[in-house]
Amino acid sequence: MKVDEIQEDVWITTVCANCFSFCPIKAHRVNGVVTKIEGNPDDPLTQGRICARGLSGINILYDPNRLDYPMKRTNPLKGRGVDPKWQRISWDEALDTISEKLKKVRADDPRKLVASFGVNGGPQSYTLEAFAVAFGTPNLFVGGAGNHCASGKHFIGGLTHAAWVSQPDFNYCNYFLNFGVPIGTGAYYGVNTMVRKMAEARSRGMKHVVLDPWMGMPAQSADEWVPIIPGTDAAVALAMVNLLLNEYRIYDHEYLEHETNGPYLVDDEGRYVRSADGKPQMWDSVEKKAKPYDAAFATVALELDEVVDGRRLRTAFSVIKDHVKKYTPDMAAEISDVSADTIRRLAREFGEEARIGDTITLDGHTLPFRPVALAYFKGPQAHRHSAMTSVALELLSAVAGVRSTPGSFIGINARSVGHPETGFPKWSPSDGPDGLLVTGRWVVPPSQPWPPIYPKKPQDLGLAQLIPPSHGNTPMLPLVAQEPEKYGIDYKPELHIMLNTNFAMTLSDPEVVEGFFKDIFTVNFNIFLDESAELSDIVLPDASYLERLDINADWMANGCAVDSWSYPLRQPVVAPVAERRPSAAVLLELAERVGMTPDINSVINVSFSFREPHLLETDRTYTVEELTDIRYKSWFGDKFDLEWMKEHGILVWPKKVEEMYWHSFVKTRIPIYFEHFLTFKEDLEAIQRDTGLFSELDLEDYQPVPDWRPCESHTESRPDFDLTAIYFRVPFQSFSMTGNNAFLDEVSAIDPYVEHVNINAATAARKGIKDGDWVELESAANGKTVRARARVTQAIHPAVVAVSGHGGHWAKGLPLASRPGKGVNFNRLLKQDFDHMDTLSLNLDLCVKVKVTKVTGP
Amino acid sequence: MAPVIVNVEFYGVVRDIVRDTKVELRLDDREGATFRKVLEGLAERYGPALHDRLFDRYGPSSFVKVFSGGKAVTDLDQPLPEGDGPAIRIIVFAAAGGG
Repeated sequence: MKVDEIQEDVWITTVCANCFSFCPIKAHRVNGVVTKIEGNPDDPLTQGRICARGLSGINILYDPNRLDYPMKRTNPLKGRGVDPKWQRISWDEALDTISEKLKKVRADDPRKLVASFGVNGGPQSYTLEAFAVAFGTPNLFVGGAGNHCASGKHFIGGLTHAAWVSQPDFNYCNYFLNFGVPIGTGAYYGVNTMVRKMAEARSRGMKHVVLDPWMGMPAQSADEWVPIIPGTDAAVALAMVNLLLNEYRIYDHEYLEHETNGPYLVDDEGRYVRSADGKPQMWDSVEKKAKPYDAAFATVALELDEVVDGRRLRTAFSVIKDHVKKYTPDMAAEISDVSADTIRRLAREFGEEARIGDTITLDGHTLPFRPVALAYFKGPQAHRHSAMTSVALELLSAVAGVRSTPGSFIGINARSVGHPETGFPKWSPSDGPDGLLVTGRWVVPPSQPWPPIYPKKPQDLGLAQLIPPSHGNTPMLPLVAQEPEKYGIDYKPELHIMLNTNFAMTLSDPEVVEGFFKDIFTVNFNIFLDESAELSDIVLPDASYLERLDINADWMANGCAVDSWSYPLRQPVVAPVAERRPSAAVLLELAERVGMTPDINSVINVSFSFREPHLLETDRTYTVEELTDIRYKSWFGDKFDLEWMKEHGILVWPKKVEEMYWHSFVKTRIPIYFEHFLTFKEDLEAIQRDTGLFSELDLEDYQPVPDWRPCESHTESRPDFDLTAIYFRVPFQSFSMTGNNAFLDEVSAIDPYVEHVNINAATAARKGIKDGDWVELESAANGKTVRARARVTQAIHPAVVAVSGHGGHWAKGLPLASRPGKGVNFNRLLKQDFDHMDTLSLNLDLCVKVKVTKVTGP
Repeated sequence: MAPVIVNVEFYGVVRDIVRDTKVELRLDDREGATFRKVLEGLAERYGPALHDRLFDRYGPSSFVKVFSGGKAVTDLDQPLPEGDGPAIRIIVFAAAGGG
């Protein structure tokens, strides 16, 4: 292009959406065409860094396979490979059809509406969530969380870190014990920020130790890779706890006594010994008596095991200390294949590096200094015993006091004291019932972890009411929706609105999920005709993230626990072409057509945390532009309205010490002993008795102290099924979202591992498999198979095979992603039932025994 | 005991039970009328199905949000606002997940 042909040359700040980090970016627009995307250097967290997914956003914007017009299905048959025989229709026809169906369902029984949305839909998903609640259905599903949700971690993390997710404090961390999380190596939250901070910490000398079956993103850049059998992390963690408490006697007495429920007295039933007014009690060692936890104490007993007035009293800490004795290093080694010597060494390193007793002074505040972080996320806890594993790993952190202190593992954005000029937004963890931590802000209110939400006979199709700790309840949807009576549900869903999710591919066993789509009228907001769209009845062309304004695109943007607050604006870089429309605007129009504007406005006021004097009136329809403006003024004060945000692109200010390291400033205790799980169990047993249902729901894990228990894959006895299959993530693909991106497809093709089945060299030799051979994986769980070429490598545990989690598309609307050889659909190998999910969190178990056979081709 | 008529706007996951957005609820004792009494009165009028949405076995459900004069009511045992026909808004949310 010649200089005199350039009529326009601008950079526009906005926010990426190619993973859930939502990094601030800027796009270069020349004569109306986006020519380049870069990181936004005004963001103090990413400092202008950007990853391959972010760079390649242009390819999503201009992908010729984008959906441009509303279409309806004319072929009533649905199924994989069945041509929907799409027919283009007008927006009016589409919205008339949908609103008539919505009116009919709402008049009949609003619960028959199902709303599913993806994490990366973010802000638009919030709009659909508000729509669904306003409509009156309990059936809200985060489909994007299908096989990826860290349901156990979110729940336990909320109870222990006051946050949805946590990050290592790389500013001060000296020793990072990482149970397989790609923090700072290309995935997880705050990708570009944490990569920078990890590099800085490593340059400073921080040691990084990774336990992972696969030498993926985290392990390949670590000081030490410890290969481990999938689903056995809890055994290793509990052995380390045992060593620290009972052998090395390295533990943070001060932290456990004052900041956890370790000193709470428990009886032989495992229940708190409560005072007359119902409060948990602690033992005063000087006065020799039990007193309510909030009374004045001369000396609190952290350890106690005495018979008082004929009753045995123990502290929760003493119970735990005894309980973990069975987890010897040898026992854990037998389970995990991590040697006893390694477990001993890691436990000692972890305990000693925690520098228990040290303090640091920051901004005039003297705080405990614990420069050790322990991270876990998808890998360790995507198993049959997800929540128990999370409890075990959190216990290890608690023993060393490495939580919410400088250098440790810190909840992201647990506390906000507000912008210096306006004092907004403001939230803080607080002290709740039983003296335990209540989160200040929870991503999915009001499903907060504490005070507990107790089980009820469900009326929702995800069984979230039955299993309240579940924060990713989509796995049950296809099962319950197809046989509601089996779960005590007295209606069958009729209408389904999908937004930015593709759970036809991302849940276990797509053939089971497919059955769900056959019996329900599905309206699908999408930018592509993906696997779920192929099973839908009406598809609506959504605007991509580069074509729309979003109400709260910063909802996960602050993916770093320290340094700065960073709230960027997502605004359109170009206008949507053809007949694409932002789904949030369409949903607001649908609400008006259905006559539920007062309902949705009332719900939005709460779900978007609007406040006086900006609360929505109930009787008029607002635009996305108006809602975005109101949201900014409600959250940050009138000064920082939408106009200000458009001008500046991003609102940033430094985080205060009392925000980052909040626990030193908020008096409350964090559970290491989960007494309320016993109440959950009692309630569930009552529901089982009263209804005669859910007898297959194993309640073994509903106990106050953690145990390691085997997954189904650990108990497989057929000798042919000798390897455990897992999936891994790569830094240049995001689940099922990015497979059709030509730039990223090229990167994937170059990478030696990502489109292959990765198998250990010794194992491959034993099976006569050579590098590049075609192999078939047959699932022990459901008998289904997938095929890909083998990559023979030393970078994997000998008992494990691994594939990338993004591959194996089959939709015709994703022609690049669906070509043969583009990886395998790992989920096809998984079975979906209570035996293959955590009954405490409904997290899917993502390890499966497979038989690996050499075959001649695809 | 003087009665009071409470004007309730009712939204959210109750629409299959409570068909109207606006509900008038009579409480017999104006002096003892609290937000909790309103919830109990509604549960009594609409039966066990609504009771199950509004309460768990330990009290009002955390999915129930009550507003008066545009502000969230944090203490359900506080008296209703002064005056005839006090207005309150109740929204019943659903459990939502995330990734």
